[in-house]
Amino acid sequence: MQMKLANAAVIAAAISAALLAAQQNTNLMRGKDGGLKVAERERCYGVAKAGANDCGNGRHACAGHALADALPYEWKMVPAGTCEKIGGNLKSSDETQS
Amino acid sequence: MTEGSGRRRAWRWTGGFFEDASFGRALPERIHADIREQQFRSEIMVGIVQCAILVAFSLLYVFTPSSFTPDAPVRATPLGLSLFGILVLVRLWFAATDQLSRGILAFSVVAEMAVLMFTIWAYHLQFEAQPSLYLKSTALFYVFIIIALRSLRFDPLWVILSGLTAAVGWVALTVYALVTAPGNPITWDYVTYMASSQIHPGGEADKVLAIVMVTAILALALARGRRFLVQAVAQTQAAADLSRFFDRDVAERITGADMRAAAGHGELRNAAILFIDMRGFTKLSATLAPSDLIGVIGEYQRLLVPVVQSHGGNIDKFMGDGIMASFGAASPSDHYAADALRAVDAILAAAERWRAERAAAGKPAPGVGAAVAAGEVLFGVIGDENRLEYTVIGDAVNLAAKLEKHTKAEAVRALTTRDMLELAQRQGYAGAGAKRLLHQRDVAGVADPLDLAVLGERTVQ
Repeated sequence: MQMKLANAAVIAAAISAALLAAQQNTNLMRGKDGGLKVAERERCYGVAKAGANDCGNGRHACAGHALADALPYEWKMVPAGTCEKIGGNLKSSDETQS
Repeated sequence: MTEGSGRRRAWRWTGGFFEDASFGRALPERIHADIREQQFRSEIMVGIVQCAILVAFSLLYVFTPSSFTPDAPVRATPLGLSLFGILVLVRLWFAATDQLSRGILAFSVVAEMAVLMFTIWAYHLQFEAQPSLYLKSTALFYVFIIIALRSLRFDPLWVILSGLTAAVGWVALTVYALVTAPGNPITWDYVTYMASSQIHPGGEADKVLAIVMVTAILALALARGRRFLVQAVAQTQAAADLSRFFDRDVAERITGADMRAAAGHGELRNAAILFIDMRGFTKLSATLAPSDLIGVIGEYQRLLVPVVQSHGGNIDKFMGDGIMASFGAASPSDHYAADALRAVDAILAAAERWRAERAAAGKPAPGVGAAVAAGEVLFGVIGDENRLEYTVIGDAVNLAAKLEKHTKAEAVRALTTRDMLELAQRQGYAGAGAKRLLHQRDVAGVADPLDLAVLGERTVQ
């Protein structure tokens, strides 16, 4: 009986921990713009401000490393379809040169 | 060595044990229990290794720059590591509380692999890219780590289950990528495949094949390993069982020897030989039922054997109610004679207490006779190829046996030779009080008269 209670507690704790992990690491359970949006954003090159790029490229490893504004090889995620309107490019300058 | 009825009686007592021991039967329950114990430990080990891997990957994740946007819809690696960690802890709980049924283990094996497959699937969400991207994920290698971890337990079933889950999972991932891809996602051109998000069906089939092959090889290795485990457990228990028939030093000598023990292998040693005999045994055996008789012998041996061993003696053999022990034969010693005489003093004291206790309880109270002799003996292996025995051979052995019989003639409890007493005193034996010396005694079976020393007065019959 005692073991059953302990098992129930362990399983309950495991399920709570799993939900917490999902809540922390996905935007599935986050308010109005939740959901796993994939096709709704696109990589946009040439629009990131210095230090505000989203991620790495051939020249450095990660986010926040852009040295100047609007470098053609630094990118940011933007809502799909807006990149070219704001003067960005869907391809990196590193890619188009080669 | 010893002649007469004592020796023949000895064979009746000891022979039965060897003849009854059968080696060809199905594995007894205690061997299964031992294997279950091994599997239990394996399961705990799997859990600990998994925890270590989790910690390593978590540190790796924390200390390397992330390669996706901070507001990505899913952070696949921390999510996967968390879920995997939860599964490991839940399984460790069930394992540690000994509740890990096959059902729970099967669930956890499948779930672990499913978490990895889910994490790989979630990569395309994390990178906000086409699903076909995850097919090129290096996380595929973790599949092999998880399968290999299952091989820490000696059971091919779980490796196969883990491997099959991985193979099915990878096929499902490939199908999902194909179905959700826009346009024609398939290429058969290797360079295009490597440089784009196109899918090469041959490449994915290769990966599934590799998973299946690794699983099959590990399962085969485990099936063999399991057989060796069963053999090892059975033989370790057999060795433990049989080693109880040997003195500890002798058992170590047999298992630790570079060469297999063979008849004719022997070493010369200066040693002391002790014979202990229960007095009034013949009378006892006439009055007691066999089970009571063996009970008395067991009680007496449990009393005296530790005394002999605590003084550095090795039990050479039990001969019915008699015990033969050697000092300095199994391993060399420079105080063997003193050890032997101290052992005799302790034995006489212990036996006297035992006798008094039994007499007070109204039970038959046999006394003890003992004799020691020292000299050069051959310690070695005798017998034929199938039935060997480590023993001591030499004049001292014969003399000790004869002196032990002579205690009755002298009406004393314990005897040794004057030479041996002097040798023991040179080796540091002080003893309790001066020993009475008996000059030029005729001992039955010994050609020349001997000077003897009385170690314990007053025989109790």
